[in-house]
Amino acid sequence: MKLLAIDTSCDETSVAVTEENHILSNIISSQVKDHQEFGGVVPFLAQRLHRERIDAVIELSLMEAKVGWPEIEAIAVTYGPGLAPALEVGLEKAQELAKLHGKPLYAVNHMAGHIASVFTETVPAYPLLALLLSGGHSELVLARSFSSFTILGQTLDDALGEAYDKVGKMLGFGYPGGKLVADAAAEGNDQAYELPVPMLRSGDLNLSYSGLKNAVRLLIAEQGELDRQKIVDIAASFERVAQESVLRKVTKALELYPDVQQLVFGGGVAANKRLRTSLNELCVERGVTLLTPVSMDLCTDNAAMIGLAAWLGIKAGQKAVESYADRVPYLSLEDTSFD
Amino acid sequence: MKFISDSEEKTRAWAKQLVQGNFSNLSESPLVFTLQGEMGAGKTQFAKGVAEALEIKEIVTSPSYVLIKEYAGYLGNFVHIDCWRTPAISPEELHLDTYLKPENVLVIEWPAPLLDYLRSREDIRLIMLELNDTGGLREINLL
Repeated sequence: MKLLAIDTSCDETSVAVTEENHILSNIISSQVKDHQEFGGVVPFLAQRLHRERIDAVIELSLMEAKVGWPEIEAIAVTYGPGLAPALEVGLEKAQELAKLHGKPLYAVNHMAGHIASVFTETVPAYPLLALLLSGGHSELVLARSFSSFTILGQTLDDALGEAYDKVGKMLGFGYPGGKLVADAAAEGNDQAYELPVPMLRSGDLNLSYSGLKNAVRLLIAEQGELDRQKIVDIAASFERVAQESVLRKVTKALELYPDVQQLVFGGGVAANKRLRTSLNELCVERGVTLLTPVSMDLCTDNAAMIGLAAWLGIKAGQKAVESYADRVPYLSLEDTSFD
Repeated sequence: MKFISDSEEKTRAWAKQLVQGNFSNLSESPLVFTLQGEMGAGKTQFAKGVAEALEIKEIVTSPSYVLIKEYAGYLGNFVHIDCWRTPAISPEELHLDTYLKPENVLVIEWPAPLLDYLRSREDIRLIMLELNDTGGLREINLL
């Protein structure tokens, strides 16, 4: 079954063609440079740029996949979570194309896409645990099938990627500095400074980074002048405890759900090597398989994962949209369960 | 006016009271809080308290990444804006006027680029606050 998939949830205009778990094309037109002068994603600017680019990105995606409209059997589109003005562009276009070409339309949860992003070579074994970490989201999800999701924990304030970016700014890396914090951390001594491991005694599976962010701020204030050694040591110490809290919550989730066989690690932070390595050690210890996206394009926002999620959803009984699908900016994975 | 809080709960409760005290005017003009203060001063907790007053069930998380988060609340919407990433953004670029409608409650963190515009709008109820972390205690001042 060949699917055309569209994702315009944030600042990437992306269109893909997928066939079951195979990716035939995955075109991503990034707006990062256009938003950079503002220092962040501007919702209505994103909407305008999506509108300007979407037709060309669809054309390119079909060309690269060497597929014409007659061969496309269905259309899949992200309806949330994301920026309302941005989501609207993809939804309007998908509904227009579905009508024009007489194809069924499937509305897909962007976070289900991040889970599906790892299933290009393997198939899901349920129940599975998914750790989804990015600039905008931090969630720990239990999937009993691709139609039944339970959010076990989530961040109460900042997403992990955002905490990296904010620490980056405090250390003088400019914005976005998350990647530079990870690079600096690799050079530093992660035991140089004592920092509190977030949510150690919360008793649940939620995450929180505002306390740690504040502790880093106070630590920097105590240091006075920052030299390169101090910067890399603070970055390394921050990364150690930030990741320690994730590892503890994952460990706890695996203890609570001992029949879990696969741990899915998706989202932009899935590119972080240190966290991949420590999650892998944890999984080997517990006899669980760690699954991560096979390429960087599949970690960050992209439409191929939406096509993959639609395919898994259809197999699990997901129905096509009957009349009109509206965007749901705060869509939760639990609202997407259709069992 | 000054409020001193020694816990996240107190910051939230105070924010909730402030909103409730302004409920009666909400049908005529939007209520706008601007929060100035560094990281860790309690801005997110204040926003959570506002959301509680509006009976919002979702967990209110930081809007830094997406600039604006809008939640459906009691009466109108709760609009949570954060200009930390965008110190040079204009009210037009944010389409700020589309959110400044009666019944809506706005909390704006790092509001510097929007302050002149907000002050010029006579049809809104504007409450400007400054939050400080003074050795563990959070001090909230009405500007």
